[in-house]
Amino acid sequence: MYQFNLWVNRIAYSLNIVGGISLLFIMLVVIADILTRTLFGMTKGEVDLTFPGSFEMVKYGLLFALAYCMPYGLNRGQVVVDLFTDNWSVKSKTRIAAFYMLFFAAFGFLMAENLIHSGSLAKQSGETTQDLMIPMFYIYYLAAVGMAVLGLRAVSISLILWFDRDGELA
Amino acid sequence: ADVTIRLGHLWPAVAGPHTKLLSVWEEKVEAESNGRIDVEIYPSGTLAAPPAQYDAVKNRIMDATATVLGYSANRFPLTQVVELPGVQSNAVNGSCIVQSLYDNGALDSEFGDTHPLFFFTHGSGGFHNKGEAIMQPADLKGLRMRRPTTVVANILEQLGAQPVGMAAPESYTSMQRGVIDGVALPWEGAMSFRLNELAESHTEIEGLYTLTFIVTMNKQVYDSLPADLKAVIDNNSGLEWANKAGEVFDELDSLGRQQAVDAGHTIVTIEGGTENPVWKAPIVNARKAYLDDLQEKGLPARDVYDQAVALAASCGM
Amino acid sequence: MSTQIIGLICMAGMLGAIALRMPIALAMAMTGFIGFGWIVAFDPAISVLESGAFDTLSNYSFSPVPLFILMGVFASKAKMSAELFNGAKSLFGAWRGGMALAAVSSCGIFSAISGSSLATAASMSKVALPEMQKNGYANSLATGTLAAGGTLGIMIPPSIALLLYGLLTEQSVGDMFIAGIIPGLMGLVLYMLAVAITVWIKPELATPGLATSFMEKLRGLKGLIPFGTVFALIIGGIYGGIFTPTEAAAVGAVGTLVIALFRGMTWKDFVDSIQEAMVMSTMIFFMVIGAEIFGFFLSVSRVSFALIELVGSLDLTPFVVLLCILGLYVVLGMVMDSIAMLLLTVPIVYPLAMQAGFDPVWFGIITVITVELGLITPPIGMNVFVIKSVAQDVKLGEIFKGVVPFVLSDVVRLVLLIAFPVLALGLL
Ligand code: NA
Ligand code: NA
Repeated sequence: MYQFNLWVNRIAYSLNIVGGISLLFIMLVVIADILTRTLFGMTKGEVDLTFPGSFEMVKYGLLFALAYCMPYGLNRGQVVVDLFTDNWSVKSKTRIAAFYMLFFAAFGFLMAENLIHSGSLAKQSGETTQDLMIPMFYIYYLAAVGMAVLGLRAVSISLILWFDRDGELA
Repeated sequence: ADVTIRLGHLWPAVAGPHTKLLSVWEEKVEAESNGRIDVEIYPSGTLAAPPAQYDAVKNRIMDATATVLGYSANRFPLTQVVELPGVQSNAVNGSCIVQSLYDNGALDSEFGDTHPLFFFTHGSGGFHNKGEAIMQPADLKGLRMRRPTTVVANILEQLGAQPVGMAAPESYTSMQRGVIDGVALPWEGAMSFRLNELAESHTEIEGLYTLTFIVTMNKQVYDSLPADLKAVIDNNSGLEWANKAGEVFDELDSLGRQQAVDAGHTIVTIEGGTENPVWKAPIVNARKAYLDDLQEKGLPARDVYDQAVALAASCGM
Repeated sequence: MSTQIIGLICMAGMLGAIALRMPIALAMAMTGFIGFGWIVAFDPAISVLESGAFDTLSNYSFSPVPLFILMGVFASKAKMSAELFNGAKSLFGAWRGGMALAAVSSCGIFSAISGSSLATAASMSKVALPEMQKNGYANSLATGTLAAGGTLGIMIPPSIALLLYGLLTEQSVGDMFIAGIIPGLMGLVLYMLAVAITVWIKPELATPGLATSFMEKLRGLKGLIPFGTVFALIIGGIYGGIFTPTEAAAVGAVGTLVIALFRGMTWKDFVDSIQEAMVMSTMIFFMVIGAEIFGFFLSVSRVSFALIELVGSLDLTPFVVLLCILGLYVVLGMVMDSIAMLLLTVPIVYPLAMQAGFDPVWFGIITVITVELGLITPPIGMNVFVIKSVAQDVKLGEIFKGVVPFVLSDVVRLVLLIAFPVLALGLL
């Protein structure tokens, strides 16, 4: 189990880095788009450094930024109302948190399976993005990776919480 | 009611397509089924956001939808041949072309996953912009225009304008603040997205482009209906409704145009539409690029195009 | 069973699950899934899960959320908050309670580049709280000021809450931001009044600061420059047509990053900032996905229609409807997080407000202020908890006591905005 948690942590952390880079990518695409089109407008189209597809780069950049950060941020990313359960023991609180994690696991795996299915349909139909004509199935498959890791990470967190192995939580 | 059909679409509940088309369809289906079918309409994308509506019907998140096919690029490439410049001349004409193509079986390969009821198009899109009117292709140079489709983006680019991809609801704010100089839309769109408030000049080019809409139903839901209710649905499908939809959109176009006339805007009408010699070159190029691309992928695009052009001459004339 | 009854049963179940510590995002998603499955069928309910997640995460309109958060984190990591507080401190000089005034105004100014209340409260309390404690300020005043000051972050643009409201109700995000300016400034002024009056009634709560010369005050203003620059960049760019409100977040984030780099931000700070922003964004997006899935269920349950019919049949005046809505928010605000509350309730309440004939933008401002009030009211006040995590030695009760004058001034602000809607709509 130690090995499992360790590896899930590592994978989640690596995806998290990809997600962070994706966020910076969005930021830079928007800035580049604003600068080039302002230049384009000011020179009446003489200086045309504009590039197509900024809209969908941001759209799918956001998808990867978030889908790839969700596994790593899963345990820190939840809002819980604890007013009515204040007097529960710490043990019951972690146990029930471990239990709820299993739903996240189910969600992650179900999503991964569905996205792979959508991906294979998109592959058959040849659907692409509007401007850059990127085949949609790549996007579905890559998103499925994030969701599968979310499922694994949820299982790992659930185990860690249930067996009180806090030290293994990154 | 025995069956509830949840129909989601993208227009607000006050817009013409809702009040004059889909609500009418709702009433007719309910009446003809003696109330055994209950149609619940979800306007404004409340049940599924516009780009996801077709899939939402396929997956039975809703039972039926009226939506734009172009949201999923390259998924319905043959149907979208109708959108090419120079094919249709108004909404009734375009709706009849696309519906007839489907009825002739030319588009069967693209709609295996749902049960289409009827198709339609909006009227010819034109340019609506701030500042000086666009009289000739050179006037587009240096302008930032919201592009509706990839084909129009291609034309705009050839003419030296910058096609901008952005979410439709953002176009009003963007044009208001000057992020874009104009939009390509039919008159109906210029009216309902309130762009007539911002634009100062309008350019009509008959046949420039259109968008294809589909009203379609989940296959499983349709198949599970008893024969008499199926007949009610069948009776409210096909060319008759395509034609009604076309009439609604042509009427909305003339309302939208009147709005601009009343406001005293400049309206330029390009003589001969897409056939005008000054405009023809980029338009023919863009059309050719689209068809060549599909042919290369092994799709019978030229054949569908020829059929569409032949239908255009007989449709709604 | 009618769909409305199923709807109510599922919603009751959801509240129960939330009370039993189910994460709010999960509770919304589960309710959406089960409720939709019950009313329609479970196969499509699985598609609802996928659609809710995939379409939310790839929604262009949501792209400003992580970038607005990133902007605030950069500012905080680059110690811009410390400089700001020190500048404000010298401006107020020898005034009694000057440091508290400095803290409130710093919160207000910091919020001009921070999209979230929690981020504002966290970054300002780290710098201002130790100083106030060191200088003999009563804990209640010091912590109360910062907890409340943090809520200014949500009104003064940019604001994630106003952005989400705009997206939920199809209002222009730019309009929402511009409508927030005056109510946000009103909040700032009223909070400063609250400090001044509190100190006037109970002088023992605060100490006078050191007198500062005119030149020192002038130099203090320097701390405002980076904030003023980024704020002007954002609002000027939106007004001037250089970029859209959606794109403004990227401009703000880059602008703040440039300033932070000039201030000597290290590679490690940079990486930590991104990490921190991603964790906070993840928290919000889990809830947005949950709310989206819940929304599918809410639509097919037709509960909103039933509610509108009910209210219509009761023949209530719009004012009574408004009071009921605000009352609901105050009650929910006692136990819920503000973003979760917005996501959960706006789809239900908004149609009611529209039926009562309220202006959608104005209603958004009123809603967001009321929801934010929940951040500082007991028993669950997220901002208060943030302060508590910085000031471990201060009792929770003491912070809540310190917050009272600010709650009162928020009520005054609400009354003013309800009486004079032009305060919110005047700049549009
Ligand atoms: Na703010
Ligand atoms: Na509270």
